[in-house]
Amino acid sequence: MGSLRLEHVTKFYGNDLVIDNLTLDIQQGQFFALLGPSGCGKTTILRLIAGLESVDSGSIFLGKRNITNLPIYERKIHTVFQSYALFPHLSVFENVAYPLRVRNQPEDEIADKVFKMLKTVHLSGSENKQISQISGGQQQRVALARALVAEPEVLLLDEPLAALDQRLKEQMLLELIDLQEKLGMTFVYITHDQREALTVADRMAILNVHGKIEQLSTPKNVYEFPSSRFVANFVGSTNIIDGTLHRGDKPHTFEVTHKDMGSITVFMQHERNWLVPGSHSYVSIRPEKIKITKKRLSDIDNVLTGIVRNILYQGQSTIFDVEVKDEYIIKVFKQNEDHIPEEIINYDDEVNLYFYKEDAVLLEN
Amino acid sequence: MWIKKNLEREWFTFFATPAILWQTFFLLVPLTAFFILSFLEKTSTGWILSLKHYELLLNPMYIKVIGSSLFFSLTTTCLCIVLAYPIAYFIAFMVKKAKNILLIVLLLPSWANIITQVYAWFVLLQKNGSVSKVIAALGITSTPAHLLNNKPVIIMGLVYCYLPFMILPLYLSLLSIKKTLLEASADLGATDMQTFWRIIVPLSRNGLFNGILLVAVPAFGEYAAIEILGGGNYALWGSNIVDTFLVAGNYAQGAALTIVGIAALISLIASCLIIYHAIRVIAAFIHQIKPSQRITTESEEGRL
Repeated sequence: MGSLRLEHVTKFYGNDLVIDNLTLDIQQGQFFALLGPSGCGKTTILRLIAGLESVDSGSIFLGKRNITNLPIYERKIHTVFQSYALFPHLSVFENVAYPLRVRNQPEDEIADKVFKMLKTVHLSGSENKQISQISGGQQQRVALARALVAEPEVLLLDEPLAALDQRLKEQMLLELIDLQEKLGMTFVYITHDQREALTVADRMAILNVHGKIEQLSTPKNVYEFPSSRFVANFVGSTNIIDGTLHRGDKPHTFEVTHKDMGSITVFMQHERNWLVPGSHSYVSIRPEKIKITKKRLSDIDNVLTGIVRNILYQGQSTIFDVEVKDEYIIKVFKQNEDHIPEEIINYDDEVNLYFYKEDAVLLEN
Repeated sequence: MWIKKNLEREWFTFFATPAILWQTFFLLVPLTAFFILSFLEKTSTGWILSLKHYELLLNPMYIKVIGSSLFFSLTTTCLCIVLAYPIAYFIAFMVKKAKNILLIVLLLPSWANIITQVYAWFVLLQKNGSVSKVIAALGITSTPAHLLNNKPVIIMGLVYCYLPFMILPLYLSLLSIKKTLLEASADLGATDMQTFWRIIVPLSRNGLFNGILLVAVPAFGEYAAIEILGGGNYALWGSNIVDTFLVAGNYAQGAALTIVGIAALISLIASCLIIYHAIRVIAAFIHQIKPSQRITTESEEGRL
């Protein structure tokens, strides 16, 4: 039914390679996010799936059906465009009714479905308004209703919330999750905003240039176990330390030795064939996993010592930039848990940075 | 606020004055003069008010002539619409770099006088012209073909001359349609024809209307082109007016003919607009009758 499969898809714009041999599986009923920086080809992937562009080589399957050469209007895939692309000469009702009208559905059925859909997106009562009369958030809902009303097998969303303010964006994210659960439809969500992707997705693919998939996993896995420096940097923020890889003393542990900062112990649950002792390796440590204190603590595997260079107070948390060695800055997030903290850290204080070996991640690339 | 409004009014006056003066002296004054003149009759004692110059409206010959002018005007306009849409669409949406060059190439012939353009066709199509020679050489006809002096060739000539005036306004209004709207339409399941009728035509209707005005009105008054291609076999309202003024020297009768022609054109355009709006109103009525019924039942449910 609504599962999607892209097989060895390649796409050029003129002489520019945009998508290079992409193979991607999206399961029926999944809320799938394609996350990548601008220029990674994510919009092109969406346009290829929708049928707005044709592939140069490779195939696209919807369920078991090969839709590579199926005309756009015959694909049961609808899109919510970034600009909404609402028809300015039609009312809210007629915009939502559009996909049903072009399929020549009977009038009562159209009215029935449109009203049901407008209710679902909380737009009841606005059906006779013109598009120019409603707010950006409402236009977003009309675009969503219009794409959903004909019950496509796959719904594509191209940065749908980019034009909304933060509060409305969060509300819409929650509504999208509810809607997807209720309809059980396959959603493919395109964004460059990692927070949106982490929030909505069941599974997500992180794309690099030419549509190269850097990692494909659940949001939690992507965040906690990024596979590459690119992913670790793009999804959330992180500290990366490089050095030579050695096997640790205890089982399942490795040591990465930086030439100035010394060794960092990393716990790895499973052996991987890319873990080659002696090779140059990268370790990622998320800023919130590091404990910053002037005190000395025992029983924590890794410690780095440095000088506080920058403090960014953000209310619920504070970001510290700590210079460890030779201008090597480690970023630390500290949750402001106490009303009156027992330890005050100031500029130029010498601090210890502690983190567990389980919280450090060895990166494949 | 007051100052701003006042300033705006002053600027409006400043910019509008030339146009108002122009329209007054070159349109309103002559038209009024014609209107008055058409109701005057010269008798031995002097000018008297009369409807004599409108008596010819009872003459079936004149009705036929005005009908013939309307026929050429309408046919030309319809053919121009049919031809201009694909051309304007192609330039607006499919051409990426050479839009302006293509447009200039299309408009280039219309830089010449219409009579010059039509005469060029006349030379090509005359009995021993290039076209009839080619046809004879191809063996389609044994003797040189008679290509002139018929309705199709007149309409072809008119369409050729007036097509640019339909393409230009249509092209400009198509340019303002965002391409994502067409993509959205196709994405939502519309075929190209459905997208054309449901999105492109409604969103380019202003350009279409301007194009119709630019083609239908001059084509109605056109007579020189039709005389050249038609060999003078077709009586036309325009040539009627010219003959009355220049040959017969009957200015009052000529003024009456002019007023009748303008009235015929205005009623033609008005009936087009009325039909257009009627279709929209009927369509809106059909579309909305069900929704409004729904709204009442839903709110009743809510009350229960």
